[in-house]
Amino acid sequence: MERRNKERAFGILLKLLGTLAALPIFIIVAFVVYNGIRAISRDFITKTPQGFGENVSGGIAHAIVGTVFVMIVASFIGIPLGVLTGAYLSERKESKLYRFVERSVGALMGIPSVVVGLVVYLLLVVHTGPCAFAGGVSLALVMRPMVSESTRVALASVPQEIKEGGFALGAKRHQVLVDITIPAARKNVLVGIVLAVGRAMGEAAPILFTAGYADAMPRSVRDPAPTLPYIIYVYALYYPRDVYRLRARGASLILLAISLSFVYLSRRWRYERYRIRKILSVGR
Amino acid sequence: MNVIEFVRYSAWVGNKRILHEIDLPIKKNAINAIIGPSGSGKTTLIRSINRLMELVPGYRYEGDILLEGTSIFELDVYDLRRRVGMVFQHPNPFPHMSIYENVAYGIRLHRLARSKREEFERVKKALEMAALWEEVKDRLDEKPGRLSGGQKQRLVIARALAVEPEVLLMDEPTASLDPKATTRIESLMKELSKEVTIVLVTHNMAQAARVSDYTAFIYMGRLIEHGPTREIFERPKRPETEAFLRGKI
Amino acid sequence: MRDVRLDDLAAILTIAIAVLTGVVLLVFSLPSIPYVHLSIIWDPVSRFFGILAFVFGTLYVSLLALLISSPIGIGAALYIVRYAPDKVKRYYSMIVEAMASVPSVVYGLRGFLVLGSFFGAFKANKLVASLTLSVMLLPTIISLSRASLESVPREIVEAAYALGAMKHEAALVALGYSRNQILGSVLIALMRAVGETMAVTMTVGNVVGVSMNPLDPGSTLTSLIATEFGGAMDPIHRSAIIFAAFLLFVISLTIYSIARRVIGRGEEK
Repeated sequence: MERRNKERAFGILLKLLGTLAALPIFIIVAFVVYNGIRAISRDFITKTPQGFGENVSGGIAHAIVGTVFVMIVASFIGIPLGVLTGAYLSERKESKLYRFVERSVGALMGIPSVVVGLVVYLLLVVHTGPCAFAGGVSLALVMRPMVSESTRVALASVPQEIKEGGFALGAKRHQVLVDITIPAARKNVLVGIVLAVGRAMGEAAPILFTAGYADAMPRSVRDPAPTLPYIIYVYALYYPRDVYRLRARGASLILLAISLSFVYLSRRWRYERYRIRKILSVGR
Repeated sequence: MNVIEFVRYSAWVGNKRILHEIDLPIKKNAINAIIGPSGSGKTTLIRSINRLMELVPGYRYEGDILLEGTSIFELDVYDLRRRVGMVFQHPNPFPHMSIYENVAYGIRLHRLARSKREEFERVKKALEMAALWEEVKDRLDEKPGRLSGGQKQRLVIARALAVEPEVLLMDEPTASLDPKATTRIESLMKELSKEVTIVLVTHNMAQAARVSDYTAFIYMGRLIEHGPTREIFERPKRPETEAFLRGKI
Repeated sequence: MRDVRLDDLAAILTIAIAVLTGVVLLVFSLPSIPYVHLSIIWDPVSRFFGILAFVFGTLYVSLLALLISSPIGIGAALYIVRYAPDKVKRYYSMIVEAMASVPSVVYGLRGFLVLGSFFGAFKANKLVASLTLSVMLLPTIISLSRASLESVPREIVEAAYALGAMKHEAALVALGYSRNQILGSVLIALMRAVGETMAVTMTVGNVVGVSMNPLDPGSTLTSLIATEFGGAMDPIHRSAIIFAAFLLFVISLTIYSIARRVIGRGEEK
């Protein structure tokens, strides 16, 4: 009977651990919303900061625009590179370089993002100065291995028969890739891209030395571009005044809301796909 | 004498009825073959005996299955599974445990050995019964990964025998083995059936004819006929059985 | 030229970037080599750069975080795969995904403002950093462990049940079967922990020292880079920080290749 007690205890323990692991996200969301909501106002979202110290007023519009600038650059570089590398990983297993490419993607995924930022600083920022473009390059590098990994998985899950259907018609490899494989897997490729862009957007470490900071609105990709994660870090750690803490909390709320809506978006698509598959299987 | 008796036993998974009112005796210390085309419900039948069907979502049953006169559904399921061992289609030793630990696993689960010595003796006996002892006695601490398919299957048989079951369920135990290994397992089954009741599911009619003492023919979830193997194969009473034996189903 | 395709170019570029990262870090850290010491004293003014305190801090904080989150994460994964009803399973993967997408500065801010307030004057210390980090590692551990537990063949679990195993005993067989993959997922989490910058920088206190007391503030390789590189004017000082980044790069890659080997060993069977 000791065995039965063990069985029951084990079940309860696992349930407890499962609950414990799920709890933090709710606490975080509650904390961020509760503390951040006081900071949110129309001015906070639409105005740039005015004044200094205790007398600071206005908002963080410059960081919102900066985030958009940086992410546009990052997406333009990171998404095509990531998708192409993912296509290579999924479709070119026979290539001599395959092993090296696979290792490299793994290694790049493992490089701490602050190190990526440092390398971009050494190679690019010393020439251009901190700007939205350099920040975007850093984030593209952070985003790229995530995009290629998810693309690889998405393309590999396209059934071989569908690809062979293209080859049987005499299509070349890249034609099959562009005309058949990628379109067949596009929803899953997109899900991966959305998640990767969302993750990259929340990163502050790679842009510490690359995107720069100004209290003003960036006008082009050559301007310093403050981003939301960056100002949260700086306001919380280097401006030990309550007004700035509050601004950091407000920025957290906005950033978290955007991050979670990216997850929601990718979820919805997956749900659609699931539904479509269900409809298909019932109809059969 | 009947060790197991199906009494008007029916089984469903979801809305699908898999078995229809089966009445079937399983004879003691004999090889009882269950044959039939694939999808006829053989596997459901054999997995009902150790209540492994209860892992399938949507499973429900009517009627009863008796083990030595007691309904298996009233027995403690874990004790039932100690008394009724099972060997699967693909050899499935636990790859992360050593050969010794594989055989000792059931002994430890049911706390059948009071000392390390006794555990070792039981493991040795089970491996001897499965005709594997001589081949593995010098590498009991190795993982089973490097054993051949036939050796793995005998290891799994030893694992099942180690808890001294009364009945051994074998679900297509030679389906993934080569002819030589198959012959070995078949002669092992004959040997084992002196001490243990064997229920053998197979779609290989020749195998049923070679090794079994009794045969039951299942078709589309119904028991068509059963009896001594020789009678079934030589003088089938039902046209369906005859059609199946001639390869027409 | 028809034979050279875009995906080949992208692949070659990938290799180039990986190699270039290592080379750049190495080259730029060379000038500092004579000034870098295996010491716990970090003194930019006299150009004496002991990196041990940062390596210590990185390992201390990462390992403590793993110690907290591994049992919780693996337990949660086992619960999801072997115990939870389907509905819970679906919601759980959404929760894990949401957890993974919370930006690290948000984790850091929470750690800094909430957890830290329990500790009075020393708001930022190694324990706060480890606790914050342990939450961030959970999604990695849960989703990777879950995937490996789900890939345990059905016959293995059935074999345990057929021998009379109870639910928890069958679950332990599944756990044993995938132990290499799970160890691999813990190592991947360790790699993440070592490289995590923002949340750690915001919570660890950034005081150079090697105290074993978790309530003392500390400093890590990543927090060194984040806090000092921007203000370092002396080229040797900069180079020494790049050396720290190079070290971080090497540590990450080492953990990554060990993880790959461990996972690969599990897949051989």
